[in-house]
Amino acid sequence: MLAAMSIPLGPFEYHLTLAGPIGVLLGGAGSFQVAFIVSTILALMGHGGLTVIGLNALILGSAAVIARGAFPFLRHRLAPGPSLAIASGAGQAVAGLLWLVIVTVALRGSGATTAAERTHLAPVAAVAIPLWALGIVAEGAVAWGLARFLARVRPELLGPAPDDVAPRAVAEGGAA
Amino acid sequence: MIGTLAHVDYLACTGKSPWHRASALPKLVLALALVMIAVFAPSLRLLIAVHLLAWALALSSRMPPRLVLAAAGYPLVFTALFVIARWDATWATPLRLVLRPLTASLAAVWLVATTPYPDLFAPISRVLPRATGDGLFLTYRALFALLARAERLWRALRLRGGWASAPGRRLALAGEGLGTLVVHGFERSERLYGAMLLRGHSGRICGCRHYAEPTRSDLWVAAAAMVLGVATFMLWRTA
Repeated sequence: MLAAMSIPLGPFEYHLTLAGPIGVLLGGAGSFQVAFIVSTILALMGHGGLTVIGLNALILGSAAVIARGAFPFLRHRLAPGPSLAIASGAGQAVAGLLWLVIVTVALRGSGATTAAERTHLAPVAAVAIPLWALGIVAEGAVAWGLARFLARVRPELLGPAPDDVAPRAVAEGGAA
Repeated sequence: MIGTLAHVDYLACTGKSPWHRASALPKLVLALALVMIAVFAPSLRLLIAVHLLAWALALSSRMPPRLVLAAAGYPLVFTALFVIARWDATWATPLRLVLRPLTASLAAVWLVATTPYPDLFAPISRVLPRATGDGLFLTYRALFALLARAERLWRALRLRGGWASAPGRRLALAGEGLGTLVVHGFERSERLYGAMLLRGHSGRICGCRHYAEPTRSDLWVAAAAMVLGVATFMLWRTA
């Protein structure tokens, strides 16, 4: 995750999180741990808030868990590349939505009472929503390439292929 | 990124300032106190005082000014969004919104640039679940090798025309490149775990307690804590 974040993409220097592939490779619980460790190291380096380490870990971890849940379902219908791309995109979409909700709640609930103190969410949305959409596309496309490579080189990392599941289940049932 | 991380890590291990000689635990407590006071300070004067103290700590640790500025400036872009969203035509609210993350960022960089990572992570890992604490050590240990590999991979991809294709294809190629990094990471962690078992790994990575051993330089940390305490006491209720 940290290695992927070190790679700036495009003119906006978008940093990948790889939360979806991490979720698929390590599972839900492992992803939350990884997200916490990454958020802690980044915060200690001044790249992220010290007081929002837990929040960042929860948001990154939720993207990983969503991808983890969606991947096996998609894997039965699609090739590994598109499966991981869609699962990662879905995870990123949920994580981005969570972030937007939290920021909106934080801004709305910050004690604004007079007209002058009211929050101006439009400029935040104007920046955040395109970045969110860009994040979904970028994470999905990178996950596509990643899954395609892993399916060729180390397919066991992506879990059992759909063709392997049925014979194994039959064999285990037969053995019992 | 790797340059900054490596530079900070190098400074933490080789620096000669009193902060480098002080033990990790008091520095950790001081940095946490700075962050907490910056977050909860009701008064702008107190926030400014805490911010100045954070600058004093960072600059006196003999970090290169470029590094301090980079650390201090990093949260500015994100904070700008909040400043715009909470604009109330006064200067106090934006100043408050900007100073809080900058103070926290400076305190974090001061702490990391003056404390070697085993001493820094040992007290943190005492309050974390064992797997997470050990994960912090192992991740940091492997980080530089992985980042260097990622940079080499990226350079190779550019030199071989990986960036000449359409954006979608470029991202998929980046994914394939990262795939080699994932495979390398898995193999490396398996080898490392095997080596740790061979060397009698007991299940806890760092049992050392020298992060809490007092040194004479801790007096500097105590002096900084006293300044923070006095400033908090005197300025908490001011405007």
